[in-house]
Amino acid sequence: MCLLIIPYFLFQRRAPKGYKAPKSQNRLFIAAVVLLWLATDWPLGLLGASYLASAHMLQFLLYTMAVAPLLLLGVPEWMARRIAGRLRLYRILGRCAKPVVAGVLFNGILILTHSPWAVDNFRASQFGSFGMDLLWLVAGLLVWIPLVSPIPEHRMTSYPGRMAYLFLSLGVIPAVPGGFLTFASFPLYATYELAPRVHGLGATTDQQLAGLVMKLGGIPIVWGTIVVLMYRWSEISRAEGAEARLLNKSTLPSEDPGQSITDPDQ
Amino acid sequence: MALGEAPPNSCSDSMKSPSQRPTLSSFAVSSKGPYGGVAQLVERFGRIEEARGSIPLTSTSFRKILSRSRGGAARLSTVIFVLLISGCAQTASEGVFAGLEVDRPQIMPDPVLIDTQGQSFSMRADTKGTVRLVYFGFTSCPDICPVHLSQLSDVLARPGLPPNIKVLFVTVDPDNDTPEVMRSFLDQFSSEFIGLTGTKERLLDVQRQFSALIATSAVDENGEAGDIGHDGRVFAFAPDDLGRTQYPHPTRQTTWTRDLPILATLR
Repeated sequence: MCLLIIPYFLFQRRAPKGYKAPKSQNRLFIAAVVLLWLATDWPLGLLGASYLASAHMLQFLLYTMAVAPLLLLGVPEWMARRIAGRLRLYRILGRCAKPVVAGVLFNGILILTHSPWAVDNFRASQFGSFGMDLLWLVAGLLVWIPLVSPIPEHRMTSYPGRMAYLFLSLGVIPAVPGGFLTFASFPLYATYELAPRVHGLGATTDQQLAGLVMKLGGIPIVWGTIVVLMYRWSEISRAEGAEARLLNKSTLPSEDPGQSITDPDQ
Repeated sequence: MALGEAPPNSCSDSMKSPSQRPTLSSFAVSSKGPYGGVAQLVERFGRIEEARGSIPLTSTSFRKILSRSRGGAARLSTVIFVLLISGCAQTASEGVFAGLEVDRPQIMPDPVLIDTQGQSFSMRADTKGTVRLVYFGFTSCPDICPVHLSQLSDVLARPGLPPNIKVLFVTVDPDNDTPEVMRSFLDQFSSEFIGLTGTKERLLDVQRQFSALIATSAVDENGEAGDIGHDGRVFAFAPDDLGRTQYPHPTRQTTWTRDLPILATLR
């Protein structure tokens, strides 16, 4: 956590002259770090790593649906540009920010990290478990870049496009593996099946719960964001309409003299 | 058929040793199909290609098929065929049970212990005609015992499993595992599970009769007894009283649901 928070505030001293970081941005970043800590540390981290498939899924949801977008929203543009420049990530980020690439990468990581092979092998060691958490965070950042990247040119411009992207990449496709978990007749993950039970929760029930978390857990965030995007779109359309009407009004008087000449009634 | 022997089926040819197996590179395709499954599949594939008009097949060697210009799809199909067949061979090499099969099936011993009602209980005679799953454990076990029992509880609650299955939990810690303690412990998993106890000597003798590893309690640095090391296997006995399989920790639910119906039919 310190590795994120301390450099963040130290880096802010090097902000361009005259730039004042909005407080809300700092708050979003701190909220992201707190959520990251909650998802990684005891009890959720331990339960997700060794005992419960549902806790594992809750962790995934927190990393990809909450921590990642909040981190992106919490980083100012100048900081993102400098980090991308120093790490020579600008081009790669630009390529990954394409909606199809981001969507495919995110869902590819989602399917890979929820396959029984990956879960049973990665979760077997602390290092593997950490790798899985890191992969989820990277996947979350990738999928949210086209929507809330701090670098404006990496963001999608069209509102309908954003909504469609959000719906497909975060709403529809993750429901497929979620369905597999919910309707599988046997526990798929040996790690959770053969772990001591927590509060008497059976392995199959736990897996069904994990499937439900995967399918339904993201819905409030996905649909909430879609509603916000739709509202903004309608506001912009309304503003554009008003502006067009104003322009029309301002151009009408200049046409009047011509009209008066050609007016047959006069 | 002896136990552990592969069941006779159509894939048995593919289990020959490598020297006996025809090599693919010199494999001639003929309509007689002398090599069973592989030849038939290749021949069928050949007829499809022949129908397309691309390859005259009946006298074409397998190598030629592979080297054709449309060989990409052909090679891919061939690889898939071979993989399918090798998968079939692997299935054929598996035994009847998914659990550990014993070389010599053992007749179930019939010791008399005390159940959780305080009544004497004859392990074999009182469970005649059922599948008996015998497990030696203790109620304060932190990991293996609760996992085994909850796995069995989940599996036995599944629809379609035969009803004649009894789980016999024999304690290896009679000092702490009184009948009441055992009952409340087993009820967390299933009220149908049978808990059995007895004197220390009697329980040691029962473990020997079942050829189980004898449970021993570990002593910590202060000289106090700690966890108990015990056998992690579930000993399965079919209704014909023979113990053919054992299930170590960890055993997955798929293994149980595969084997229990088979065991239940052995009368």
